[in-house]
Amino acid sequence: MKAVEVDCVEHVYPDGTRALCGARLEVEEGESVAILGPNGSGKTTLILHLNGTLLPSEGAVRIFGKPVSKKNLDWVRRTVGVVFQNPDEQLFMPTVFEDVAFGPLNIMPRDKALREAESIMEELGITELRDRIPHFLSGGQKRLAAIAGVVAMKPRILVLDEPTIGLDSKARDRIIQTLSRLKEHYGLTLIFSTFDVEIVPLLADKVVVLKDGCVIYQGGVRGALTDTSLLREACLDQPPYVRLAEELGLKEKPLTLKEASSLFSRLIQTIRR
Amino acid sequence: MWWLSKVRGGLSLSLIERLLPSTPMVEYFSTRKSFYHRLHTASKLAFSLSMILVTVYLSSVLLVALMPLTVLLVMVVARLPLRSVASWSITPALFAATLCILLPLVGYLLLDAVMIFVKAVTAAWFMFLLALTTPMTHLARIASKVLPSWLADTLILASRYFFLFFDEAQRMVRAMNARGSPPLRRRLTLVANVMASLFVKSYERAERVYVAMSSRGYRGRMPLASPEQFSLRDAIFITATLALSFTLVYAEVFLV
Repeated sequence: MKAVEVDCVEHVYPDGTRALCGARLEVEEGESVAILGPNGSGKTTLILHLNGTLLPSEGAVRIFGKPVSKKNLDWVRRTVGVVFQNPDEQLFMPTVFEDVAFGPLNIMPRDKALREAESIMEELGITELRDRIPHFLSGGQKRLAAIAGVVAMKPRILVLDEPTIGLDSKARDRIIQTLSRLKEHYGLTLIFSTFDVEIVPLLADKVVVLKDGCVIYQGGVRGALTDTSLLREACLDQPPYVRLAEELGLKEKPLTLKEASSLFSRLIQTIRR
Repeated sequence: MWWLSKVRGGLSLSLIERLLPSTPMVEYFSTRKSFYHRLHTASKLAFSLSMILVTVYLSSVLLVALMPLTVLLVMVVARLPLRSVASWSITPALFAATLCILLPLVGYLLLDAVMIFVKAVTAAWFMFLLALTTPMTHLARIASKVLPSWLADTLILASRYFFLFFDEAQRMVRAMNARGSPPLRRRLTLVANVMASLFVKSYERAERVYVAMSSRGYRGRMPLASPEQFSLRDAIFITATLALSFTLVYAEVFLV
């Protein structure tokens, strides 16, 4: 079943800026999709359309077949959880627990909501942050708390805007592990925007590349990340292992450390023989 | 003089931190585990407010002098940093002193002016006591029960975003200072620009926060989760507070 259908969506901001021009996108239920693109390519605008924060000037967005409109915003927002780019704007309650419980308390009976909040904090390993003021958390902790606040509402689709931006490698790894675990555990459909190409093969099944508000590629991860001209057109870096393989003139292009180590150990064995 | 060098050297962070309780300090002290901290927020609020009212009501020098001693004693029990409290008291003391200096000029006795000064500083101490022993979330919970929801929600958000606003102001002032130290007059213009820029940023942030809130089901009232238990200890404490208040008022009316 199609979880998300973005059908010829155009969005023009009140100042006349055309942020999306006929964007098309289809995401199957349970799929994990990375939206790639440089700054100003329309990634955030597209994400804001997925839970009805913005409505298209033209075209339609459908979630599980139902068009997003003002009439079904409650359902849409329960179905599509959005983690915004800046966690300080997402964590608005005085403590982490209050924030995680905020969404569930709005849509569930109190006891169930508090249980959900407790359980998701445990699942994400942030119970020790329970009574902390969000302002004093590290970037990675803030990001985890923001994810917990959205996942506690039990959405079927989790959308994240630049989930790893501004994080050190340890915090980034923890976010990647957490998202993989959540996807597996809850069967979530995952959509995330990023220009960090290294995380894409670790999380995504499919890639959408945006440029100037238009979808210029939609397909497999390997196809996108090994296409030098596409990446250049979208002002994106090649993943480091792909660049290394190109420098060495290898045909096979590994996307992850695992693939690279397997390729190079095979090469070393061949040379030894 | 130290303050002159601070003004010449730009708006100093250490000066601000010396005159106002820094946010990590408030967080640290409000989550400690003394006898006083463990009381229900309503009990602590009742104590601070009733003691402020009694302080304002009293006119006997002896009884008024007793009030700062009372709050200092409770601060010691609550293991609060008296030296820092003294430093933070400079701001309310300056406000009170500005008023009190003028009072003798309009016919008040010097003793009256001193009494008003002591009462003002004591009231500020009772509020410090409340703020430094009660997590913001508990105060927000009480506010949401007694105030209209729009006002309570505004207070909750203000308690969260004050820290961020303050940090942003600090960063902008630091960036300003890092690019030289202009004369005081130009500095004042620049501070006004910083404030205007902060206002615009806050407005934009408010819109984004509203989007985040509405996408998590906000429909006009912020629900609060953390429960607080009202215990026998609170009942005894409130009774003792009332007894102390009545005793002081009785002493003021009949004994002194």
